[in-house]
This record gives sequence, C-alpha cells and structure tokens, in this order.
Amino acid sequence: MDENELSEYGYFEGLFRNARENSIIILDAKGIVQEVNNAFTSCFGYTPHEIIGQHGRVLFTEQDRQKGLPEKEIQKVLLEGQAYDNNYLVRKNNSITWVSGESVIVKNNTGEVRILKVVQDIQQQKISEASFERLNNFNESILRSIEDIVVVLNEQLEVITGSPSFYNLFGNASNFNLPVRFDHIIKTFDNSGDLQGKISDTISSKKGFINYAVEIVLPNIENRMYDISCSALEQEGQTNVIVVFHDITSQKQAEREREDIIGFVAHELRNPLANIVLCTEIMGEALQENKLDEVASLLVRTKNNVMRLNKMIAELYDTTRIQSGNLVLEITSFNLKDMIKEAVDTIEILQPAYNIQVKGDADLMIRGDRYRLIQVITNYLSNGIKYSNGKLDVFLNIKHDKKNLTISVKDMGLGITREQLPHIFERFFRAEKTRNLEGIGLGLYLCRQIILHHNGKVWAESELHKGSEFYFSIPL
Amino acid sequence: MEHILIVNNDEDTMSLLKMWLEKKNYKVTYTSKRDEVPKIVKEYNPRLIIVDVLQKEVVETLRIDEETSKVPVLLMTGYTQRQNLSTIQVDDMIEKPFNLRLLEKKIERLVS
Repeated sequence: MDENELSEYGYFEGLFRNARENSIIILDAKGIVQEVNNAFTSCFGYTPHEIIGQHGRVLFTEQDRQKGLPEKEIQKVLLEGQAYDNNYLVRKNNSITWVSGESVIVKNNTGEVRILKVVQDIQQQKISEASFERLNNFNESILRSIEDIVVVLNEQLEVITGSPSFYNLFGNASNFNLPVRFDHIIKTFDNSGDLQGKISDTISSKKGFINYAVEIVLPNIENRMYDISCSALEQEGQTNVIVVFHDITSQKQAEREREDIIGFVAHELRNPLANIVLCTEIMGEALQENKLDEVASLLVRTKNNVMRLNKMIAELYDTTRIQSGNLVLEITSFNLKDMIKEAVDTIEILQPAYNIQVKGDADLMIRGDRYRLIQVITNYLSNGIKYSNGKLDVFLNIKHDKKNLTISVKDMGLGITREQLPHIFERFFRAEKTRNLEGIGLGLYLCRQIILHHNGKVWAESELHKGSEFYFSIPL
Repeated sequence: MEHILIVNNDEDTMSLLKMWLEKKNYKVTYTSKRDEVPKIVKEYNPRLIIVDVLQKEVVETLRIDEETSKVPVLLMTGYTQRQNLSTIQVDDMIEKPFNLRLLEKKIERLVS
C-alpha cells in the first residue's frame, strides 16, 4: 500500500500502519490472520501476502503449538476480551524472538469479531537482562568464593552487600538491627578505632587506601591480623566504598617465628665467637709471659671454635635450602666400605680419644649422594660422642639385605628421655638446654631430610643413662 | 681471692673464662647444671655469678631464696634485641662476643 494513500485511512489506521516498534496482527475469531502492519513484516519477515489467510499458530514455536497455546490464547481473548503474555514467537526464517504480546477484541466495519494482537519484540531487552543476571551471578560467585572478606558500604556506612566471610567474622546479619551499620559492628572488633575513620575519609575524599594493617579482636579465639584496602565506587550518584580484608595472621606469625629463630641462631653463633675472643685475649697474655705451650693449646681451641662456627653456618644454609625445596642430591654409585672409612676417619681426627668400632659387612656398591651420606654418618657419630658422657666406645653397625641398607650408631652415654625421643629429629631441638651441647639443633634435622631425600627413614632407640642408638635405612 | 661462679651452656666458654679470670686473680667455679647452682652458691658463697641468658631461670631461683638473693648477677647475652629480659633482676649485662675490657670493669665493679 502506497504511503500517499494513508490520508484516506483514519487516525487509528495510520497508527496501525506506521508503528515501528509494535507489530500488529489482526486475526479472525478462528485465529486466521486477516491483516498485518509493516512493523510485523520487518520483525517476522513475512509480507502481508505471505501471512494473510494462514492460521496465527505458524508464529508459535512447535512446543507451544503442541501445548495448544495459540488456541488457548484466542479462547481467552474471546471469553475475557483481553489476553497478555510473554513468549517466544517464530520468524519466517525459523529464528525465534522473545516478545511481549497483548490481544484485544475489536469489531470490523461489518461487525465481525476480530482479534487485534500487538506484539513488542523485547529480545534485546531479554538479552541484556540475561547478561546482567549473568554478571550479577558472576559477581556473587566471586564474592562467595574468595577467602578475603569483602564488604560494600554506602555513604552512611550501611552494609549493602558482604561476602559470607564478612558475616562469618562479624556475626550473622540477622544479629544486627537492619540496616547493618558497619561502624557499629567494627567498633567492638577494632581496638585502634582508626579503620572507621579511614573508611569515612575514603567516602569524603573518594581516595581509597591499601595495605592498612588492623588487628581484629575476636572473642574466645586468637586475634587476627588483616591487611585492609578500600576504594570508592561511584554508583548512581552515591559514593559507595568497597572494603577488602586480607588475612595476614599466619604471615605475621611466620615473621615472628623467623625473628625468634634468627635471635636464637645469632645467640648460638656468638658462643664460638665469644670463645675466639677469649682465646686471642688469653693468648696475648700468654705470649707476654712467654708461655708458648699455652699459646699452642689456645690456637687449637681457636681453630675448633672456627670449625664449630663453620659447621653451624653450613647447617643453617642447608636448612634454608631444604626449606625452600632446593636440596638436590648428587647420586652416584660407590663402595660403602670406603665411604664408611672416610666418615670414621673424619671423626677420629677430631675426637682421637674415642674408639669407634665398625661392625657388619660393608663391602658392597650402593647408590646415593656420597657426600651427604658421609654427613649423616659423621653427624650420628659426633652426636654419639657428644652424648657419650665420657664412655669412649661408640659402635657403628651395618646391616643389609636385598632391599635395604641399615646403618646405626650406638653410644653407651646419657640416653634420651621418653618424652624427648619423638622430637629429636625436629628442627632446633636440643636434648636439654642445661647440658654442654654445642650446635643449634639442626644436625639431626638435616640427617633426616637427607635420608628422606634418599627415600629412606631415620629413627632412634634410647634408654636414659644407658645410651642411644640412631638408625637410618635406605633402599638398595 | 674473690670467688666467681659461672653458669653457662658452653663448656669451652666457661673454661676459657675461668682461665682468663684466674689470670686476674679470681677464683672460678663453673657449671652448666642449673639445679646445682643454689647448692654451689650456698657452699662457696661467691661474690658474683655470671649467668648466660639461656640459663636465665637460675636467676629467678636465686632471687627467691633469701640466702642467695643478695649475690650480684651479671647476665651474658647474645641476643641483639633485649627481649623478655625486663622481668629478670640482674645487676648488669654484657653482650657476646665480649668486649673484655668492659667485662673486666663490670666484674671489678660488681665484686667490690
């Protein structure tokens, strides 16, 4: 129909023809399409010629047709004079679109009943609603899944939304008077009282902050440290703030532990250092008095203390490497007998007074880190001597079958109490602080780590005042 | 000759200190056994006790007993930070490794 002819139609006819957003379909009482407008053609793809005379159900999806929806809709309009629904309709090219439709009864100029159906394509709106919902769900799931505490506040410091962890820490929202006021909650948890002030500053200045450490005081359980950041969110003319609490309690504890360990190690390293200072001082005096024997003996003692320092430093370094996972073994094949001899010789040079008795068959080739295994054996031997309480015999026993090699060092000395025995391979453990023990409690810890790296195991047996036997076993 | 008692964990430190102090005309006894300290103090009545910080509990024991509470105590520490030492009643402190001139002065002052 030519646009120039529009003037011949009435006002409503013009509206019907020219509407762009709303598709209009006129059906008869049986549901047969009588007339459509241009908007219908552009939305559904059918020309008036193609659709007029067909039943309106062609516009419905297969599913809806099976449910008898097109007929039900017509019946409803005929009975009630009006029907309204949101549903999918099918275009000529079989694509579907989400529409909002309203049908009313009208009569044509000959008095026949007609159904006027106005259909609005709200597909785009539906898409954006869906993506908005997805985004919302996404945000919600982020909020739910992160361990950090996240809370969004408005200008009045009322809680708009909070992660579950927020409510876990500060109690359930139902325990508070709604709306939940963050400032009311926080004042019982924040001793310093500065956090609320900093958040208020963020709201007024719109400038956030990061890395603000706050200790949160909790009833019945240990206080927790949080690293808090806050930033302003401009939303619909309001300034909201998002506050994130990141738990740094364990980091702080580890820092404190490290500080304690370093303090202890520093103290222990100063012992041999103090001895060296004393040695040189007394040597100076002995030289003036021309007591060369005394000087010679003090030189030996100085050297021993230097060696002691060196051993401590090496153990510390090894421990650090193990802790960071960087202890790498250099595996080779070697003769066990030679290796044992080297370990025993090392100790006999340092401790000539002691009698190390080697028992068992060592004439075999084994695979392992030779240097590290010598370190374990010399450590066991020097421990045996250290705890020997003057008993000069120390035994080194070797046993092996097809699968395993087991080596042990037995002393007849002080022994270890039942309470202490399970802990002797732990880091920084020393049998008893009151005894004259050198070292920083890393030797046995390192032995255990070295053997574990060989897929072996370590253990010890002991009886107080009778002696101890330290074992390790590695697969052959 | 003034008698000094040394309580420490390190055998070498104690024997070297003894050697050094004996050259300065002090009589020296040493032990690493905490439990024996009150008995030794009562027996020898030392003019000074030099205690290592790792043996600091000894000081508390001595302070409680009226018989031993008056003996001056010099505390040896290797800790850079003087942590948790505020509760121990000591007469003076010296840090390891020692400045021996300073140690000598402190000892002279405490025994006099």
